[in-house]
Amino acid sequence: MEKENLQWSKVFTDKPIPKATLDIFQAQLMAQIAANPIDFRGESQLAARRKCGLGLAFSLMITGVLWTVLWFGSEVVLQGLVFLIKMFAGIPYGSELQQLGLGVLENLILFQDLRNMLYLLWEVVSWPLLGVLSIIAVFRVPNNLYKKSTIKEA
Amino acid sequence: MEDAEIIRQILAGRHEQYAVLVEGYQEPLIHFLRRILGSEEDVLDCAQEAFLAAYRNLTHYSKEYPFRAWLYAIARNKALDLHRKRRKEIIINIDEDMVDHQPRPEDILVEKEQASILASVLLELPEHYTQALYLRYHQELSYKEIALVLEIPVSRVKTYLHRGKDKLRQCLERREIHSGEGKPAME
Repeated sequence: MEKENLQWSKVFTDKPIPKATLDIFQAQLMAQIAANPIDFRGESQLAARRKCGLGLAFSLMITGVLWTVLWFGSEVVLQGLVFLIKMFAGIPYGSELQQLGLGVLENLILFQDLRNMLYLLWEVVSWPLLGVLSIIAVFRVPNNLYKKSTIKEA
Repeated sequence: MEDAEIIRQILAGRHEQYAVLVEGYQEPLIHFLRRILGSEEDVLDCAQEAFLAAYRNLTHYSKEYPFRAWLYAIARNKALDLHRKRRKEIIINIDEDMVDHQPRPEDILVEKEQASILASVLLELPEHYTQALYLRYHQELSYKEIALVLEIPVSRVKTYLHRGKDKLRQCLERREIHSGEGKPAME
């Protein structure tokens, strides 16, 4: 095997490179690096931050979609799930799937209760909240607002 | 000092340590690039760009593969881009001026007669076979390293080497290259 490798290596001949050329090459390269060194630590921190940001954005997006679906379409999801549980009743491991589906179903029902509770809470809280906001809007000194605005600065 | 340790030091802020890597790999890299590119100027430019690109992307380097193979992969991509660009330029020149392009450097540089024949035989082979054979038998890269450089699976590297050797043998037999003892050069 080694003999064969040696034979094949003879096929290729490399023209030697003068040492001066290599030295100049290395010097030029290192001069470029010295002129523009890279802050690797900063770069890796930025990359980590970017990764975290992307993860957060993605999870927020998924949560938003799920929340919207459950909020506005929980009835449809509920009916769909019930249909699926009925459909998979006969298949192997169907009971496990049914258990899982029932668990989700229970959570969905809980979610519906939570939604109803939030609606009721909003009905109770919305009027007093509107009142408080109106008071702030009416009694807040307009002069202060003018002082802080950029109109005067300009 | 191992490459991984040098890279760790560079990433920690000791940029001058990159000179160790440059010193170690500049010569084989230039030899490798000479097999892809035509002019010596292009080879040196491409080698420099490859080293700089490797330096700039050092945070993306993984210890899973050797630095040499990673560097060669970067250099090969840069060389192929440049090669494509140069080929376009040559085609445009031919169209415009109807002038033949210069002979490849292998034809000019190889001095000995047999070496010249071997070089021309190598030119008959598809480029990926020549690269695989060169990296395996001349630069002694492992199958895994060659796979990384050529961006192909290891199984295909083995196929390239096998078929490359077969084709090279056929070419040599066709040209009736025999050693002094009257035996074929490649048995």
